Amino acid sequence: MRRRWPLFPIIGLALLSAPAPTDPHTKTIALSSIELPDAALVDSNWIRLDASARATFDSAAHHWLDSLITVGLRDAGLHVLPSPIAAGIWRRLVDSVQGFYDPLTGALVEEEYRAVVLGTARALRAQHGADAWVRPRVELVPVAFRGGSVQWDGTSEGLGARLKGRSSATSIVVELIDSTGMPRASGRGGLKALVHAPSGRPERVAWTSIFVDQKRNHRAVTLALETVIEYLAGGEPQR
Amino acid sequence: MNRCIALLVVCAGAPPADAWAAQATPSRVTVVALAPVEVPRDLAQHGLAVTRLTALIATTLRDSGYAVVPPETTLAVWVRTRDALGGFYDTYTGKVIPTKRDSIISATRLALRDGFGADVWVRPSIRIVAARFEGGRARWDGIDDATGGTGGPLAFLLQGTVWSALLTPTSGTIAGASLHVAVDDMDGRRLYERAGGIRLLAHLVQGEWQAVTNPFGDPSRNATAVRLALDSLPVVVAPRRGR
Repeated sequence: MRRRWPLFPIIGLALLSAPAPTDPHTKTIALSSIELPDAALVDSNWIRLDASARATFDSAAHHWLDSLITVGLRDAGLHVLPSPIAAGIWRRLVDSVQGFYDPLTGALVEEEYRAVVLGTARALRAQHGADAWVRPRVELVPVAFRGGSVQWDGTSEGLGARLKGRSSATSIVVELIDSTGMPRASGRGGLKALVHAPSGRPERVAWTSIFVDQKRNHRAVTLALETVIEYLAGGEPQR
Repeated sequence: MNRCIALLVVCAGAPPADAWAAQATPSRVTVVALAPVEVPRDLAQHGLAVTRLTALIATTLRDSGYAVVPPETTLAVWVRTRDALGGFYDTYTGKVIPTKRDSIISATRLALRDGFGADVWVRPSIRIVAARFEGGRARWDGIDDATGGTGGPLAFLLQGTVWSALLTPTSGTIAGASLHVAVDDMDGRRLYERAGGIRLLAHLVQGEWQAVTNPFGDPSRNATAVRLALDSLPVVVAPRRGR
């Protein structure tokens, strides 16, 4: 999958740069900024993001979503390391392997990618005391619509007409990685269907509309964090 | 109630079928360097079937009077040049670096011309296109294919009634595969470009879209695609026999 690492501007300093936890039992979570793929294979079709979706995401939406995820983790009693910390380590390690895509084929070199993930998890643990690392992303997923609505990843959305068919939608996916680089939990929350039918026929929604509904953003983040927070509540910090 | 499907795919548009045939004076060539059919990554599992398509193109070119540098040789030249110049993908993003790719293409052209006397480079590829379907049939790049959905009189009679809920989607777009052939001269000028449809990549089964498991496994469909993609080539790039 192609990835894109947006810049990680420091936003909401008061929100992000929280002091270290005073309670030794509080778990420390390193957070990465949310990613958005440029394209995804959905039901045998490549869905490629429109430039306007990328622009909306890069200019504003990823700030909102990062903030919602940060607040969600804090509200669960976790100490959150702001995303520039993980981003800095990640970039250094990617530079050390000079990127993890094969220059001849463009394919991901799995061993190098795994090495960067493992190295980042270990460095977050060793340098910042992170018990785990949270990596959120937006995913494009296939959905079936029937009877005027579409349901996926814990949410639903009306289409505006009674229709049946298949299309795609966006979800927020949050993955929890432990300090050995192993994925331990992941959660999903449906964000926005990419189809609607205001005139009785299915149409692609405007790409710019995907992230603008703050209620949907909040619900998707809450759903996606549920599993991760449950896992963290049940497990001991890996010291 | 009109019902349709919202499968939106990337459309790799080709010029109109007769755009290249309309050129006044055909180039005359003897040797064509044939590249293997390029397959999108998401169809890479069908590489073996596509190899047979490459062989069919080679046979068609020979039958038309061209001498053909075999696809294995053309591929070896490409790989050697690509490796020598360090590839053309960004190792940080996995994306193509256009300037590096263009320089490798230029160097490959020179190697094919100087090493094998190639006059043109024939580059076939599989492209996924958005095929419009209406009434149970999709049409694109010179062919039509059944979607498996409802069409014809039944759809017409039930449209707008409560019984229309029994119908499967009757119009929209769905992914179809085409064979696209581009022919460049050794200065990089595009001499010819045309596509022939192969088949849909999904069919309706009991109202649900299901992926076609072996899209390149039908020899007659492959032959039709090769014919559609190549039949105007001798008009534009005429074979010069017995050089």
